Amino acid sequence: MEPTREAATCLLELRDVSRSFGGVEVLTPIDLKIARGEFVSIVGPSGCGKSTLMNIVAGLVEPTSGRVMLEGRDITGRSGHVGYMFQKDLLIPWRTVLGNITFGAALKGRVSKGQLVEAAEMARHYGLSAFLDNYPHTLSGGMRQRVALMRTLALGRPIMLLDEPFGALDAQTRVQLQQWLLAVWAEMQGTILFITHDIEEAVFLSDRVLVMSRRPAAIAAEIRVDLERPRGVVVTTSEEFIAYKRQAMEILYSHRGLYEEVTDPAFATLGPAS
Amino acid sequence: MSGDRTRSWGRRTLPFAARPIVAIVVAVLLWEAVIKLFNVPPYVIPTPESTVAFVWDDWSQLQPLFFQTLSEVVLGFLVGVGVGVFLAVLMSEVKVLNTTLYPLIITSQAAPIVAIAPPLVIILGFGMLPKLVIVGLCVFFPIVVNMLSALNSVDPEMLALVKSIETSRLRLLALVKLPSALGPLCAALRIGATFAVTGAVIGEWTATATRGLGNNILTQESALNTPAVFGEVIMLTGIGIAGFLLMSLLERFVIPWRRRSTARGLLRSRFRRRLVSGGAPSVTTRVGAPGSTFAAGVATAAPLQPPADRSVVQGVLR
Repeated sequence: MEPTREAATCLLELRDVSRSFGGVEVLTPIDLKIARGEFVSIVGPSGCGKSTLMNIVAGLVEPTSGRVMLEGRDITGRSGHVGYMFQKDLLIPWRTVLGNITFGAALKGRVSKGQLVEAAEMARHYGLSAFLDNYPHTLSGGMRQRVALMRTLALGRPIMLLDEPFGALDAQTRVQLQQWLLAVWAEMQGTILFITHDIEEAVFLSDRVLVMSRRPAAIAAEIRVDLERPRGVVVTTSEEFIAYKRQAMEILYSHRGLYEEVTDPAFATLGPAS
Repeated sequence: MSGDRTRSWGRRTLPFAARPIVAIVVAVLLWEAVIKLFNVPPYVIPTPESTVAFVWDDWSQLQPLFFQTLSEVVLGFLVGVGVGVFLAVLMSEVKVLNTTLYPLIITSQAAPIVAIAPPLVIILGFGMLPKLVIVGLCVFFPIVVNMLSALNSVDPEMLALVKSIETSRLRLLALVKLPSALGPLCAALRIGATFAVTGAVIGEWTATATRGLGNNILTQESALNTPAVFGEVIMLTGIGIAGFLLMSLLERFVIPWRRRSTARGLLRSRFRRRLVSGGAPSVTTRVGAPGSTFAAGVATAAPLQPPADRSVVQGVLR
């Protein structure tokens, strides 16, 4: 790491953030810096506390200790500063696609015509023009996730948190959406913190992959992915790619006994929460 | 395939709109048949003809009774809906009230309405007020129960999303919670519309200064004028059915997203469909035709040109 460069462009910083639930430590103190324009993924076993980390960044959960800094301001425990997208699309059935995209603006007050036109422009630009007037129930799963991402994008927040956004999609749609997401990200020059349990997805999308350990979660390793951009799906068959994937796998699956998960007391008391 | 044949048999021989009419005709024929078969004297069960004849001939005398009862039903229904919606929103927003008011609301229903009607009349007099209270008591309960459970069961992830965007409590209620409770509310309105008639009759039975149908039934019964009793029962039933149908119609207008694929102008698209299908409502617009709504969505979305800005804006503001 080059601290001077990172400090100049650092957008999001977690300082010593930890969290326990009912005396059980879920997150050990975590330090993390994300630069403006970076695509960072977090991979980890399910139930390791990835989503808890996201909820802390989004201000939905208070950390037991530590601070969350966004653009140098302390946003610990304060919501409304980041864009957050879930595995479930959470589209509102009674709003059209455009209505869903402008939902964030509607929650802030009346949506102006200017905002509507702007949102429609953006959606058209990213390939949703034929569906702007449709109700969500007429859309496919992949389409719904695109709309959900547009809604997150339309919030205009400096960073987007995507919590396994493609987890419920079939393999082909997933690849399509990954490429689409990369195109959107490159064009808007945004910053993305992405959660997944799929190593391949993480390596394919990211500049950096953070591998988390089992609960209590800590960042076990950080892998910088220096694959050329823009990346096509073919890159996933290259030797470099496979080397990155292997590296992540070795960290993720080290120290894991065959029956460990079943006997883990933390798992038994808290239940699976990805 | 034999399965396909049986399904299309029903559709071809019995059009959707004709089914209720057929059911009513069969019921009337059964009524007639019972009288003929068992030789029932007319003062026990009147024939359908004499019942209809009574309503037809005496309409000028029945009219004020009918409108008196109708106004009790309509006004009492409105009171019940207003109170029900208000209580549901209040109880879902203020959790303390949820647990304190719920026992009272259940008590109000556990007490037999026929038994509490007389004391209500003693307290509130013989006018309209006790009727409104009794009808309201019948109507508000399904509304509170249905709406409260809908308001309290909004997807927690949806609430997390809204919280991450940040908004006021009022906007959360207006933009997320209330619209999601519209379906259950409409179901409760349909139930309430039929309960309201029962409430009005009980209110009139207790004591009344202005005569209505429910009250007149007692008078006619003591005179053994069974055609009148039957005729008035049918009129009361008509009020209940009309209310039910009206509420179903209302549901189609307040919840258009269930059966529509896009949000272009409602009347315009309906007119267009009529032109295409030649009068009969097309299958794709009918409620509860699984899969067909999706087909409609693809059909309207297929032309790959951006919709005119105006229609898009309308759709969002709807």
